[in-house]
Amino acid sequence: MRVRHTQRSVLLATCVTACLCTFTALAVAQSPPTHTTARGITGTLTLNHTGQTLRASLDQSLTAPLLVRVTDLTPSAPDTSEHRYRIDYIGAVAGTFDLRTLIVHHDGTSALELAPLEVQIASELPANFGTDLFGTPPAPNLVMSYYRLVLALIALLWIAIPIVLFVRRHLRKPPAPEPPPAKPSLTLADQLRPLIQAAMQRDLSIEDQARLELLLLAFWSERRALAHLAPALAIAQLRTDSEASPLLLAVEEWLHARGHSEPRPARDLMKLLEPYAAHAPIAVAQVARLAQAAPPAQVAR
Amino acid sequence: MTTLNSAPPTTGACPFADTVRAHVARTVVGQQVVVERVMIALLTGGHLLLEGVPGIAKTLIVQSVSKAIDLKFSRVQFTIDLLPSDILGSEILDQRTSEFRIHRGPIFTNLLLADEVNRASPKVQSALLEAMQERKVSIGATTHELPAPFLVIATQNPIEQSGTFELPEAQLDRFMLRHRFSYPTAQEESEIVRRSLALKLKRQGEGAVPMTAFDDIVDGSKLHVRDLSLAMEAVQNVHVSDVFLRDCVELVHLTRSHPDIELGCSPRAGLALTHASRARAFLHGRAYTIPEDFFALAEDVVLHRIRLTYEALAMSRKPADVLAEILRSLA
Repeated sequence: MRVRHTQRSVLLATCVTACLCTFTALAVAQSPPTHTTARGITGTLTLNHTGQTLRASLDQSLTAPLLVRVTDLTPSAPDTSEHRYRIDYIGAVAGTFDLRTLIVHHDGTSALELAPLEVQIASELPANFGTDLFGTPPAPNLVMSYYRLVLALIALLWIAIPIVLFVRRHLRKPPAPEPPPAKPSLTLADQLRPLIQAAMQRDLSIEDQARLELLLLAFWSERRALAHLAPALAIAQLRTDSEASPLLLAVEEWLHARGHSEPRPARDLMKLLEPYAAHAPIAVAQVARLAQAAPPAQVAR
Repeated sequence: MTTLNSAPPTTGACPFADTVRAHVARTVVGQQVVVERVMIALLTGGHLLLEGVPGIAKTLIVQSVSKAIDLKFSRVQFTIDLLPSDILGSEILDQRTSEFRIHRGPIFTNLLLADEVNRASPKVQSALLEAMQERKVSIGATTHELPAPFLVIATQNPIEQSGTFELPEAQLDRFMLRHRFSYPTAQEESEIVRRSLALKLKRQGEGAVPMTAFDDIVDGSKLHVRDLSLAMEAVQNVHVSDVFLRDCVELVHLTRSHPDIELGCSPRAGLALTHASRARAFLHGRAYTIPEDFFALAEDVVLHRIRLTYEALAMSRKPADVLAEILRSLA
């Protein structure tokens, strides 16, 4: 009796399970599988079909909410007439679409006899945001929204900053010249006297003797407007110049002739420097440098 | 062409120079600075490189100077197929005695004019410049001393550079001076034409050819080699002060540190400037050198010894401009 009861329970459970399985299978078979793909992303669907070959409709518009194409067609198994179709689709607008509307037989006739091929195009945007790509409101990021304006501003700054720096640098006042070390009341003769004396007595270094001589030549060359001539020609002219030559030739002899020349009397020096008494001091910095090299006792007037 | 960078010579200051100038002036019009440079080279034993376009009496001047001092003169036209033995000489088998004898080349002379030296191959240039430096020539196993005085005056044409071998800096450095000829003035050119018109025909048997300026060079010279030696001794006695030496050394040093100069002057430049200045002082009748000598010769001594940087050349700077800048900065 107990055994019979157990068999009945098992039989009942088996029947219930079988019913549930059958119901589930029927439910699954009746509701078409829905593929979900994000908007703008290509989705793929595989379809087994026997009969006339299928293809995508030719009159699809690029601005349509959904685009479909058959990308692959292979036999499902050897020795069968069934083919496996690989169908790619891409949605521009969120919503549910049936791909059968965009698939036709090879001869162009409708393929609506196929089982529904529903796909879901999902959008990650909030609800009621709108799904039209071209009607999307500008992003809240200002830089991205006004990138043209931002780029124009950067370009403007790129040009303006160097110009401002350039103008500022040129408008800046030059540094104040160093105060002249020599008294303005001094004449050129006053400047030269201690130096010539030092050169005569060989108290100047070789460097300073050379500088003094070249300085005198440069002074007279400028004074006589001989700068356009070759230096040798200018010197040759100065050596015959009635005003310039006495001191130039004297310095030449003191500095270059063999042996030490006898120091000249002070009256000779005064006479040599006479042409310079009427001239303003020259080349202040250079003369000052030479004056520093001369012994202090002789520099003082 | 450079400007005349030297003062006109002083007549009466140096009898030796006056005699040479007077002799050269019989056939050559003007070009007194070039004659002075040739005399400086002769008096110091340095070699001279002359640059100038054809037809401005380069050969005539050199030949006239050689005649003026009674020097032996040879001229070699340098070409691409010239061999070192064509200049130096070679050993020749004498078929009568079956012995080798030495055939001396044209370098065995007092004054050698190497015309268009940059047209010869580097091998020939090198042989010549080596002989210039050492004043000796090896032919076979024997070394021969070159005559004294010995001076090479080379010429270059600065215009036609195709098919030439530019002398490298190391070889240019061996020339004490490089002088660039300037064209004669209009007045001088008139005199040149006038003298040419005065030349007569040269009779050779029954035939005749028009005389050239070379035929007009007078042979009878009043000076001889011993006069040149005496003048060279006098040059040795010209005093060079410490101040002048400072100027020379400073100039050479400034060429080495100038930002526009890639290759500055070698110590030879300082030596050349000092020795040449001494000779110039002698020619101008002075017993000591002065800054005028220094400035007159700086261009001829320095310009062929410096090489500007690529950047300076790109800025169209010229060596003469850079040198002028350096000379200004000396003061």
